[in-house]
Amino acid sequence: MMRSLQLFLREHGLSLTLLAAVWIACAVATTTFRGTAGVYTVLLGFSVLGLFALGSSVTMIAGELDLSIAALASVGGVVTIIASPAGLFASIALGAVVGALYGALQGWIIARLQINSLVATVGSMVLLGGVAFVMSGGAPISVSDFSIGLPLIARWGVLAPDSALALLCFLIAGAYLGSTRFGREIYAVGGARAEAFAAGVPKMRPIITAFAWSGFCGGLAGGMAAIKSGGVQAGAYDVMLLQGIVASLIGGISLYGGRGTLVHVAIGVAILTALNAALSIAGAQDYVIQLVTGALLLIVITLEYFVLKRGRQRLVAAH
Amino acid sequence: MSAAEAVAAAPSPPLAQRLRRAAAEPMLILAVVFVVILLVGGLTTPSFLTLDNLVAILRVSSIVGISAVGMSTITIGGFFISLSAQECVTLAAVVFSFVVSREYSPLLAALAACLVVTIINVLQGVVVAAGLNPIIASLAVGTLIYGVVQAALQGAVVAFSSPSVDSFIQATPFGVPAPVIVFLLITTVWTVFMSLTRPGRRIRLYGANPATARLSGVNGAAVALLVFASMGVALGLAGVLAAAAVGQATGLMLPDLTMSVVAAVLVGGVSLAGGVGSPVRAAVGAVLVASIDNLMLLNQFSFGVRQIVAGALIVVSVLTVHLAQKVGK
Repeated sequence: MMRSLQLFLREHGLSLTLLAAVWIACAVATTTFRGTAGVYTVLLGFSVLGLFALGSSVTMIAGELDLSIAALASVGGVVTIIASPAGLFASIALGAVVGALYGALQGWIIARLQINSLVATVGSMVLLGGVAFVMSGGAPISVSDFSIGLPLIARWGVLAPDSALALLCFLIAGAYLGSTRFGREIYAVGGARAEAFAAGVPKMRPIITAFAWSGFCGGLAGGMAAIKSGGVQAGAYDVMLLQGIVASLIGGISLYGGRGTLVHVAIGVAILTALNAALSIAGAQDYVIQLVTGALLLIVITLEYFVLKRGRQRLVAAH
Repeated sequence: MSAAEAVAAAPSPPLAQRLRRAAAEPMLILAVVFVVILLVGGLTTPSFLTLDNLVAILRVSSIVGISAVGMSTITIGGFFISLSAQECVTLAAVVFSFVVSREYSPLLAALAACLVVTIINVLQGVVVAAGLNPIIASLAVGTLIYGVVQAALQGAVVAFSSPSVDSFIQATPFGVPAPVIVFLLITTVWTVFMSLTRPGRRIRLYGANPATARLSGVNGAAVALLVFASMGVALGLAGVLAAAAVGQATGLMLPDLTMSVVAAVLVGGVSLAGGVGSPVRAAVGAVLVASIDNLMLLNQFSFGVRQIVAGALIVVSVLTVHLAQKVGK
């Protein structure tokens, strides 16, 4: 018990400290962020940023990068709004499924052709952006019946339906990655791909799964956000691509693949959400949030690089 | 003598062969595609094949083209792409406009703009040489530049009026607009650099196989710094032209530039795996993308449809380049 607590702290200590620091700063700066309200706000961030980070992190663990997740969220949002007469669940589910199917297709192409995911998803990003634009007729679209999103605005203590769903996704993905053979395949493919294939890990399944999951998260995030606000505009979620990646990296997912768990991602999402909340409360404009996100990203990847380098050197020195 | 000396002392292949290798077969594919576009355009759209329109296409493609030529050096060097292209070009435009509006010579302003952007890109090169992922690093740097520019401008427009800049931009020596001549010049210089000079060959070697290149005495850090610096210069020049063209600069003046530049590089057949391609291909890619866009505009395709076509074009080019490489092995 003490041993696992020790390990947990060593793994997550730094990020948890960062989270605590940002949280306290927020709570001190404003009355609205204190107590359960603070927890509610941060958990609310999971419904969009959390899902984006979840999608990005699974592909990063697999050693790839999905640049099209924001565009898939756009398409998911548009699909959901267009399908909204079919009801709340059906329309959101449709958006998520469309995302998952496209993600699986991308994953299939990437795995089959062994093409760099960066290259493959750049084209998708532009293509899907255009699709969302065309489908929405080039203008913001909205639901015909605004009451459809009402169930989503309910508040169950510190949770809301959409943040609860996002957390559920985290739990499911966490179980999949951590406890199943399929999850371990994804780690293997990210950490040491050639060796993994040589050891018999299937070449297609882990990558297709990772990208399908990324697409699902993007579509779901876009769909939920669209219904909740009653409308969507193509390109509305483009800024979330970077935010999702940063959240994953801050929490401790490795850019080099094969390392990190969803606990890392969750903490990273909490940190970034609290930080965004703090900046908004302080009255900072959008570009300041972008600036801070960019700076944070640079700091995190630099730190990660040096930590890894030191670890490698220690490994070499130990021999 | 050491391996490095042996490689460096080896006689370089004859000029004609080197020039030919610089262009190689994918250019044939691009040429064919061009002819197809001209035919299709000429047959379906009356205003497409006019001299005015073709010159307009070239003019429109200059800024993306110059940026693409610059970016192709880091791609060939194996550093993928830079997602901060539009932020860098915007920064250069803002710096140029600002300096000219303060009554300094446009030449000095252009120098300042290029210097600023080159320094930023060299810093990126340092970070990448140390081993950081180039794409994420460029994403972060781009966001930072965007934030800084927005903070400095607060939505304002930096305008200037300079008769010398105006007369330069509007000049059409031999009927060719000045920006196009600059585009052609930069393409030539960069292509010559990459194909006919020793540093250029080292860059290509490093991009093709960094480990082998390092064993042959190529300094990876030097390559990184060199390619990022060359991209910085090109992006700076693109920004100067962009500002000169409209007499002003704003924080959001070139949305979608990064994607257009990446499209140009990929469509031109420069492989993201590194070591393949040349700046002239990126330039051709830029003109190709601009022609298709022009054709779609003349046929009044909506923005969304044009995006879809652009995205499909990227996907097809990327797949073709990738498959061609695999087949060639």
